[in-house]
Amino acid sequence: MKRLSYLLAGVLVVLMLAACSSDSNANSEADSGNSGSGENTSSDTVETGSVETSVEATGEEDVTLDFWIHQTGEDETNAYIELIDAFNKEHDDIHVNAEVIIDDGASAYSDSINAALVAGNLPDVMAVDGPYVSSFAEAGVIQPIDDYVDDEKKSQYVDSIIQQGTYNDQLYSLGAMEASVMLYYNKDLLEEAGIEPAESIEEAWTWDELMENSKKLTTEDRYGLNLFMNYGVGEWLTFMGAPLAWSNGGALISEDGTKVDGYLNSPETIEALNYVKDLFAEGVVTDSPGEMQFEEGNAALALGGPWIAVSAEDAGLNWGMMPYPYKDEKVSPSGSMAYAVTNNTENPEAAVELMKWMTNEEATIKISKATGMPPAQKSAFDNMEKFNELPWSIMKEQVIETAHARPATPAYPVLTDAFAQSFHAAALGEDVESVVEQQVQRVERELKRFEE
Amino acid sequence: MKRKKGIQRIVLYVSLILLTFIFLFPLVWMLVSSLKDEFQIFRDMKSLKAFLPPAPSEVEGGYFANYIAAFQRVDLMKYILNSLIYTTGIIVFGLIVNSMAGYALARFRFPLAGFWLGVIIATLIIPPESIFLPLYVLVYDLGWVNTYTGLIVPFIANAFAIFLFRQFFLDFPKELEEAAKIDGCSQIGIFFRIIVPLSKPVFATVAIVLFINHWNDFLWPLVVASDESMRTIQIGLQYFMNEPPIKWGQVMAALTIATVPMLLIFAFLQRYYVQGLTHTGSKN
Amino acid sequence: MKGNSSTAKPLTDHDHYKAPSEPSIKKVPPKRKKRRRSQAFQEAMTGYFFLAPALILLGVFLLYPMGAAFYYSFTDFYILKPDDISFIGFENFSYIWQDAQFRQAFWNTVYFSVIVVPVQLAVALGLALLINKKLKFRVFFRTAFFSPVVMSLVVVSILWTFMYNPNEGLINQLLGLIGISPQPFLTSPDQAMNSIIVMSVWQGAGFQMMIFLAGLQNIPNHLYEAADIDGASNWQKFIHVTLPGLKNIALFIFITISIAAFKLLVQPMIMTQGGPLGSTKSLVYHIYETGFNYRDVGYASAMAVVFTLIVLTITIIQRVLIREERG
Repeated sequence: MKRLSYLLAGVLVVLMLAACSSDSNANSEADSGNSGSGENTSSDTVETGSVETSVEATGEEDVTLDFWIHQTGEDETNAYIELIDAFNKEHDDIHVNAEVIIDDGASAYSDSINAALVAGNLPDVMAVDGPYVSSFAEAGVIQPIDDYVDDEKKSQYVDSIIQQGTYNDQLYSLGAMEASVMLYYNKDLLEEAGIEPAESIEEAWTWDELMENSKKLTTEDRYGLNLFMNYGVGEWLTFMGAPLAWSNGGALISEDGTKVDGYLNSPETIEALNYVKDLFAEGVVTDSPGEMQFEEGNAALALGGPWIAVSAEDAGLNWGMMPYPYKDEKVSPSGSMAYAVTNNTENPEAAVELMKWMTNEEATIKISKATGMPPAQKSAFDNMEKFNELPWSIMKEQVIETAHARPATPAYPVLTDAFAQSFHAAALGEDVESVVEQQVQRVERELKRFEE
Repeated sequence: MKRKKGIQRIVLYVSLILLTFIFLFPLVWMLVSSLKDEFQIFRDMKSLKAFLPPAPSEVEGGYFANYIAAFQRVDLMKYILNSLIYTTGIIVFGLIVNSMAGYALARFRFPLAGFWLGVIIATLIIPPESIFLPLYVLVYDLGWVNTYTGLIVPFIANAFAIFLFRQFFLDFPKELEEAAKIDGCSQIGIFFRIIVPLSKPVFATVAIVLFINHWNDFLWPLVVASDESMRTIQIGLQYFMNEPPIKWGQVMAALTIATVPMLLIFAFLQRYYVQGLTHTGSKN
Repeated sequence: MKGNSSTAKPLTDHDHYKAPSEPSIKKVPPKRKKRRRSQAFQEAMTGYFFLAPALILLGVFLLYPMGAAFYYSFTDFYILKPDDISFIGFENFSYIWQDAQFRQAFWNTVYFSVIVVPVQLAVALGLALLINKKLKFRVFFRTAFFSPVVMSLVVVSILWTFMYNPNEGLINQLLGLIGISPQPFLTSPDQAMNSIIVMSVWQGAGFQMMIFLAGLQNIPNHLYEAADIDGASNWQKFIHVTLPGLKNIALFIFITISIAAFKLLVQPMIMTQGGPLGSTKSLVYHIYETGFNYRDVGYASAMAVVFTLIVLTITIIQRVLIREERG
């Protein structure tokens, strides 16, 4: 196939030169054409990533690993790059080429993966969002790594991270960070309203308490609660919202991940969505909050990710955090980006070596510091003082005790959109039942694909 | 009668000024806001100061603080350079290939000419996004992923450009070509020596159209130029839109940076552009 | 005139309508029979020589992927399993009729097109007429109206997302100055598409205005002078001289805007991600999402095929209507 490219370039050049040769105008045009194609062919060979600049290629490396990470906040990306540089220095026999793929918050990163997948162009190791592990595993796009990770190693990670990386009893991914959603609060505003915050999982607010207190905290010029609807209709709504359904005894999909009818539209799940609908109907939360609504004191409470702690601190807010509110069972959001070895690699062992490096205690601490996210290593939790005192201890408690992974199903991309759309429809005051019913049909169709 | 004319004139100018405001206020707001800090952007928005540049006393970090910050956060220079390289590549090759095709369809009589014109026009209808996947596989097989070639070659031939060229060449006086033929120049010589130098307007028009189209490409560079070193400006913009912290001032600076090359190109070619368009719809 | 082309497509019949009046030896039809075979052959060779690069490139990078997409539309191609493709006949096509999202996207696209096409045409014509006069600062006005085109759709979409922001957006702040409460421009299902329409017309009209301007300058002045002698009013001149003179251009613009409108993607992708409640999800966006986000290339390709057929049909209908009208 490559020959075709030269053929095309050749045809073009010949065409250019075939013009009246005495003509200066035609010549200059042909020249620019030539230089253009020369540039192109030379760039064919440039395939290394941005990290490459900081690494001296010795030419003696036995193994080269291509590694895709997604680009997020600056500090986080820099932390990854430093870790990879250190890995390359430490390992004479393995060289890692990292590509930082843009993540536009929507689908840019997964678009890149999908395109590469079809072309058979996947890297050796790639970052994968936790709940997507199962769909990649089901399709055989990533490979099990049990052979390279013993039980002792596994036990060093927090359970939820091993859970998120496991599909059909096999381990596929390792992550450096967990995530969670906390109920943040503005200390001044709560004090003013005389509301006591919860300071441990035992004291977590119930749905009713959340509703009541949010109403109390809502005034003419501020909302009681912020659900960060400005993130758009996407993974966030499932990540933040699904525990409401679980806490009420509902589900998104059957345990084995093959059926949504009777689960996504179960009375318990619908009730949870109607609770969301009520929150919006009561006017305690808006579907279009400003970027910094909570940080600027325009919302008293906020169900947000660990990064909110960082931005609230930066904004100089007097803030605190509470556990995720519950109905019957105490559950909380879990899962984050992790690493997996693709079936494209010839060196799974080296690839796992890299994954372990990226998720060891030192790395998890580094990344946790850069992102505010809870680390995925138990020892890191113990060694980071922050997590042993209030308020961060609540997050640690929550990650270890109530974290609930999102469902493992190959139909996850459609399922999560189905839930997010239903959540959003509830927020806009639509009839929850009919919206959910429509989404159920969509997911059922997708699930048929994976029936044997 | 004269008085009526006068009133008409006033109404005309008032509406023109109103329209100018409608068409320019976002641009002005973008430019002006790119010079302000966050706090001032939001404060000024509550009054018409939103459209006035900040007073020197109001700027703490200097007028270009947002620009400096934007360039520090992201390697915008490299992205712009990448975008310039590949759009220039498309334009240079596109002008040659499409003008030749347009010329063929306007001047020569050959079997299936009408058929090919129909096919070319019909390809305008296809949403490019719907063929990106098979196209990506093809480009990958050619070894063009993360190369300028992969960004350029698939988009050299452009149906709209061919059509514009054809419309223009239909009107091109034949006498000149006849004269050149008598001088003994080949058809190719005639084209590059006689036709091309005399067709600046249409070349400028097509260049602008191609530039506007491809300067804006998002999805294709995203998947084909996934490597950071190949990233283009539009993908760089996403960074400011989506990677926290989202600073409006920096977004405006980045948008301005992305706009400047287009403004420059247009300013340079505008003289020809209007002439070139004259032929667009004159016979279709 | 094009007897040798077997499948004459629309747009080809006027190809050489000038030829009879030209003194060209080669192209005057009555003399065709006398032309030596070799000369015709040579001309055909030259023609193909000029056309070949474009044809090859279009063939390889457009028609071939199109063919592939057409083939995929009859399969269950799923991105995660690119090596496991089976032929499933018309299953994808029959699902289109059950797909509520497709229906919604279809009507959204129709709604967008039906409004944008005439409004943008009218705005562009209006602008062109306004500044096709002896004016002070004419070039300034022209450049002002054209500037959104130069700014590009992506930049403009990002910019307007900030301007439409429900809380801190510029437009709501300006409306606040005249006492109008903040509008949920992009966050309400009732307003989102209209907000996108307003921005699209604003962004695109300048381009067509330029083409109209060029057309206005092509209308011979003596027609207006003759009308003046007949004592025609401005309105009569507009109806009887200007409009007929612009007819071809207007039709050209009409067809290109229609096609572009049907291909709506960038604005909802950047501004609303198709929401709220799918109210701005366009057909092309739905196709893109199905193929890339949900990995269902087979079904996405089927929708792309149907989409192409729909637009092709509309374009042909437009052509036929236009031709009939022309008599």
